[in-house]
Order: sequence, then C-alpha cells, then structure tokens
Amino acid sequence: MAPTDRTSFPVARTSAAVGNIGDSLKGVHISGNNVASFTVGATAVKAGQVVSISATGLDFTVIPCVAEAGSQPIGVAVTDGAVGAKISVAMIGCIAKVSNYSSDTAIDASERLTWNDCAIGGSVIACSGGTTQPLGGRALAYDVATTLELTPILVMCGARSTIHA
Amino acid sequence: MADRTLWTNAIPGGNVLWTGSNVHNFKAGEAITRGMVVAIHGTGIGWTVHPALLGTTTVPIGVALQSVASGARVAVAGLGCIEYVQQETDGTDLDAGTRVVQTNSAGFIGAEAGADEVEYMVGVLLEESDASDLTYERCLILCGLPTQTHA
Repeated sequence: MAPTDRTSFPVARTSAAVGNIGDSLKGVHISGNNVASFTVGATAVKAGQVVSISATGLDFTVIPCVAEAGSQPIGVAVTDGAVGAKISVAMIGCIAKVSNYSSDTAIDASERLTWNDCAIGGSVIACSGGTTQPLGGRALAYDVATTLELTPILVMCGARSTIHA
Repeated sequence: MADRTLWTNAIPGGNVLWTGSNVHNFKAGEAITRGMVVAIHGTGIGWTVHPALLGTTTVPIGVALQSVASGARVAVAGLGCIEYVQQETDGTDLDAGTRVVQTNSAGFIGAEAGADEVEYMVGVLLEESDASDLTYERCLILCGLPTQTHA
C-alpha cells in the first residue's frame, strides 16, 4: 500500500503551552544558537516547516520547502510568518522539530531526511538509496507517523545526501 | 569577464562576520586578507591556513575575520556562521541560494559546477551577487561538507 500524504501541517505548541526547559519558540526549536532572521516569500510559513530559498533566488527570502529543482533548503522555521513577515530559522547544527510528510509511514531515528512534494509544504521524507538529494537533517527520534506530530531532527540543510557505491 | 583581484572593496557594516559564534584560531601560512575563504594547504600543515585556491589547498575551513601577515594568528569563522564573501569574477551574477565552492582565484568563491561534481564546498549564498558591483555578499558557511561524495 502506498504511503498516504498528510493533509495538514501539524500545529506546533502555542507559546502559552511552552514550559519545559529546553523548549522555546513554540516548541520547535530544541537547542543550538545558529538561528537567523529571514523574510517570508510568496507563501506563508508555519513553525516546524523546512524552508528554502526558491529557485528564483530572492535575497534572505524563504518559502516552505517543496522539492523543486534549483531551490535550496536553508533550515527549519521556528516561528510562524505571513507573507512578507520576518521569521527565525534554525540552521545547520541546531536541533529542531519538523513534520513527516506521511500519515502512515514512520521515520526511524538516525534516518537521513530530504525534501518531498507533499502539499502541506516543508515536510520531510527519508532519503532514498543512491539518489542525490538535498539533506534536511538526521532524525533524532522514532516518528510514529500516525500521531501526526512534529519530530526532532539534527538540522543539516545545505548538505547533500551521500552516494556510496 | 575577468577575475577579481581586489580585496579592498567595502564590507557592509565593516565586519566580515554577520552572525554566528563558531570562530577558531589558526596560523596564517601566508598573508591573508579579511573576507578570504581560507583552507588547509595540500601539503597538510597542522592548524595552518592559506587563501583557498583550487589545486593548491584542500578543504576550506572558513572565512578569515582579519588581515594578517604570514605566520600570524588569524580568527576564522566556520561552519554555520553567516559571513561576507566575495565572488571570483566581475561578470557572472550569482542568485541567492547558489551553492558556492573554492575557485582558482585565491580566497574568492564561485558557483559549484553541478550536483555530480566533487568540489570543495564553501556555503550557500543568502543574497544575490551582482558581479559588476564588486561587492561582498552574505553566505551561510558550510565549509567541511562535500558537495558530493563519490559514486
């Protein structure tokens, strides 16, 4: 049976619900200080979405990452942002939570994660075999897809998945 | 289209490092100008960096934050930082999102040749480089990562 795409992006915890040590910014950003500010491009961004510079290459401007030739994943949005707003993006080396693209296909801890074409935008899928793919990160926990929640990864945007024959 | 030669162009705000704290101390193997991408030499001298030059140096380490003479200590900001870099030519614009690599112009960056090429990665440009303006642009530094591993 083919995997089923999620139909909506998981809602990150609201600020009022954040209280645990180590949680901040809607619970998406777990740790790491490599966070910078970007402008939201043509599509609004939700906290937890992997974001990329689009193929048209606008300065310091990001959109939810969907597989697209020429675009470049940069990091994980840790705040929501409407079109034109400023958002904070956790980049390489940070630990942040993202969404599995699927509602029924789990992701194992340590799996390499890449972009995909799921309509919810900014979600991740496990890298496939020997294909060259942009790397979003490395899963740090087992993601039970059916719970439809965010899952923590080590952000590695900018790197590519490796081919090793 | 010609290679750039000058490192005297103004850096916006005056600082090479825009954000990030991943800064380390190295020894300069030759004179280094701030803003240059620096790399370990192909002969592999410990903790010693040179202006990154394709065919001469190996893995880029980061971007020099200060100008120093040969033999002096130099602060280098590396992986994860956002820094101002300068592209190698005065004739080819580079879009934001371009993956950039070490070139045959010492310390300058250029666009990678393609996903299947093995090159020394420097980072991802976060803003457009209008080549004829001879300006510096901000780049997410990814030194140490391969553009691609062997197939």
